[in-house]
Amino acid sequence: MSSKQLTVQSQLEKFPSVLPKFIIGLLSFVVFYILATITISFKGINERGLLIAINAFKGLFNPSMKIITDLGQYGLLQMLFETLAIAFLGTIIGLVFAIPLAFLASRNMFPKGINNICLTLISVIRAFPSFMLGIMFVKSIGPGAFAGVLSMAIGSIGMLSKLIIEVIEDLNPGIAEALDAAGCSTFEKIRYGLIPQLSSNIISIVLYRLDINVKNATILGIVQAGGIGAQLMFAIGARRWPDAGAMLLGVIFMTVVLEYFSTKIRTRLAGQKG
Amino acid sequence: MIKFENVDKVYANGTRALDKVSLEIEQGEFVAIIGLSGAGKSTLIRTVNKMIDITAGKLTVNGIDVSTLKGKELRKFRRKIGMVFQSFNLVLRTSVINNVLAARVADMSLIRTLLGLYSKQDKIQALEALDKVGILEKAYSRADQLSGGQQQRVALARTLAQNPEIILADEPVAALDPVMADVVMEDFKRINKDLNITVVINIHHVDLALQYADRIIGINAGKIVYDGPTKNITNETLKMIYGRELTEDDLMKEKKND
Amino acid sequence: MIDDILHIFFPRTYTLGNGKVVKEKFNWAPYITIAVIVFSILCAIATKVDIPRLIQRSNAFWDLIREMIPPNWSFWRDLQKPMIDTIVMSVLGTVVGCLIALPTSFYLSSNFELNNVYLVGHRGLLSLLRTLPTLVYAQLLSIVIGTGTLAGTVSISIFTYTICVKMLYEQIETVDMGPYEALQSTGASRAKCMIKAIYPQIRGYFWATVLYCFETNVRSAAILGYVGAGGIGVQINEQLTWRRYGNTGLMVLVLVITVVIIETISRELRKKLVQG
Repeated sequence: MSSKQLTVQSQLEKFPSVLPKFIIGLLSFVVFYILATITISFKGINERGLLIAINAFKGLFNPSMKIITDLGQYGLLQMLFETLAIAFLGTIIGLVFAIPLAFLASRNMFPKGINNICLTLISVIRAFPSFMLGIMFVKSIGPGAFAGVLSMAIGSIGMLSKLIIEVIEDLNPGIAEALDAAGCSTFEKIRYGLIPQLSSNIISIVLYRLDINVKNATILGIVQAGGIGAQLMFAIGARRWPDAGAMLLGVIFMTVVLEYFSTKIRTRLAGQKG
Repeated sequence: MIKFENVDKVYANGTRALDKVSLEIEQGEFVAIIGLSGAGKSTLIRTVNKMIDITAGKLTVNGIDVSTLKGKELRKFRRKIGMVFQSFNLVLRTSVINNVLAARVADMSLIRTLLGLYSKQDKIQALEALDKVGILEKAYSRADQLSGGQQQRVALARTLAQNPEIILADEPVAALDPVMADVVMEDFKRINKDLNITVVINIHHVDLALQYADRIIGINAGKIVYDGPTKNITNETLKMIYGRELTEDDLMKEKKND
Repeated sequence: MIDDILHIFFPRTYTLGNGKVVKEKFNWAPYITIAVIVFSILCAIATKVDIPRLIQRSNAFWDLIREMIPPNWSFWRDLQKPMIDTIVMSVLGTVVGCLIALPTSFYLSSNFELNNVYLVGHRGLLSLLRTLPTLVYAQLLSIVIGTGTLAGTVSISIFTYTICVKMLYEQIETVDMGPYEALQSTGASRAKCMIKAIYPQIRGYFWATVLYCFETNVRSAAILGYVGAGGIGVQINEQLTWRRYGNTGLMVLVLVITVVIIETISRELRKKLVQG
């Protein structure tokens, strides 16, 4: 038996050397260092920067009550609601387009040719930078929240349909067959066979995307596509720290509350299935 | 020497796992602790290296009062005590040799641990430990490619690699089939005899305990109800320990006949 | 007919032949549907949705796209540097953020019985910080430490840290604690036990997380230049202001291709990492 010749000494010689790992580690450190020196210009934090930082901190913890209590167009509540509205409406419109697209792209629903066309479309939409969409809509239909809604809707289609495809392809074909055998019409098959299987999953997906969209809606402001983003960036840029503080707290509060409920609903939906 | 003097362990929920336990175990003994599950076997074994703290009484190991140990001193104390578990507790996603070498990190610097820089002495010690349990050839296999019995022998090798004076084993063969259980128990026996390491083993299966141990400690509801040489065990004493007639579940060899 | 509609909203009670009363389960679905529709209409009013204007101005949208095609290839010379900057910012930001997140995440996992106050406090702070997009950090930092790639890199690091820590501690909380207990019994310190017993179990997942963060960061890094935090965003702003749509077209093309390439490679690698 060959294992008889095996000794501690012969096994010791086979011990993998740490040298290759060490070299890889060193090389990647050197590469990162070079990249950093080429790209990143470190001008140093001067005293002014430090002063600004201190003021910023002070302002962020002393939010302007004027903005918080203002119920007008530039009051915190209206701006937050506009942000939420962009995200919500964008998600819903995105969903309306994503569902048929997802069905067309699912292997168990339509032929391969149609699948591939739709999948390509989906991956192009997914890769397209969403703020570019925002810019293009602002340029063509004018600045404002409507441009934000449109870019958010298109931006959501990619991920929504990708996730919905997974759900559709996981469908249990047995239920449709059983309804077929019971002599159900196509409408009845969809109503009693498909929707009950899909709905809780799709609601989870939509809530998940809504979370992301609320965060993205803050970014859209920067390209004049509505929401709180523009005012927030202006306030920071102009160093109106108390205003910026109020808006940041507003954004944080809204996102956290939304995330809390969305997670709660999603865990409950997941629990129902399991 | 392990010495329990009137040791109590009461858990936060009020369960009394050890009740006035007193016993002495000399260096080099092979002791099996038997009893029903929930009788306090696991607690008893885990108090020895302070994985569980006692609530009253005195526990000394080689003259050291265990309950006073903390932080660095406790860690230093534990290096001399090996432990083997029912579920092997190996890192499955890494190689066998790395699992065994893990027992050496207690003596290494943090930076060497982080970089995985083991000394030649450590590697030799780990490989020798694998040789002692007869799976040297598996040194560079991934742990999850090994059978249950082989995995438990890796765990045993890991314990040997820390040069222990005492090995504590908590149901080491409960997850194995009867044939592998014998192999692993043989390993324990050999290590006990050849290296003069004290072996304290929790074991549910009475037949294995009787076959391999020199001394049996029977425990029931946290109390020691029997403590003596294996050869003095009778059916009456077993009934006292278990509080009932033995069933097929209490024997491993019975299962083999199925 | 009316009865059918009422049936949707109110569960019926049936009395069976044997006198038993059966009540239908209450169904929330119709109420939720109506609430969603009403809220959508409210949102549409708030965001001034204007379908006629969309139809009327949709030509302008297509014109914009038409002007971007063909892209102005000669612009590539000026585009190289900011594009590389964008990717390098993402790489460095990801690496720094994840490397800081790795050790921290161990101390934020609930399975080591560490200080609970610290755990809840740090986790809470992170979940607040996580709500802010990279862009907000970039805007803040470009004022505090000056505009440029440094501000971009640091803000990417911060954002990466906040999400990476969460993904890691959630993973660490699912690992097998057996090896950890075994190493503790050999007398190894807590840090060593984490390195040798826990890290090997999450190693694959950790690198997959790094790749995932990198993907997300490349996407979000492109816009950072808008607030002066370096990268391609500076160019996008400039070219659009000057209405050089051919140049914009090239930028969009380069961005799309970069994202697709990085995503494809990263997805394959991630699959391997999580399995192995």
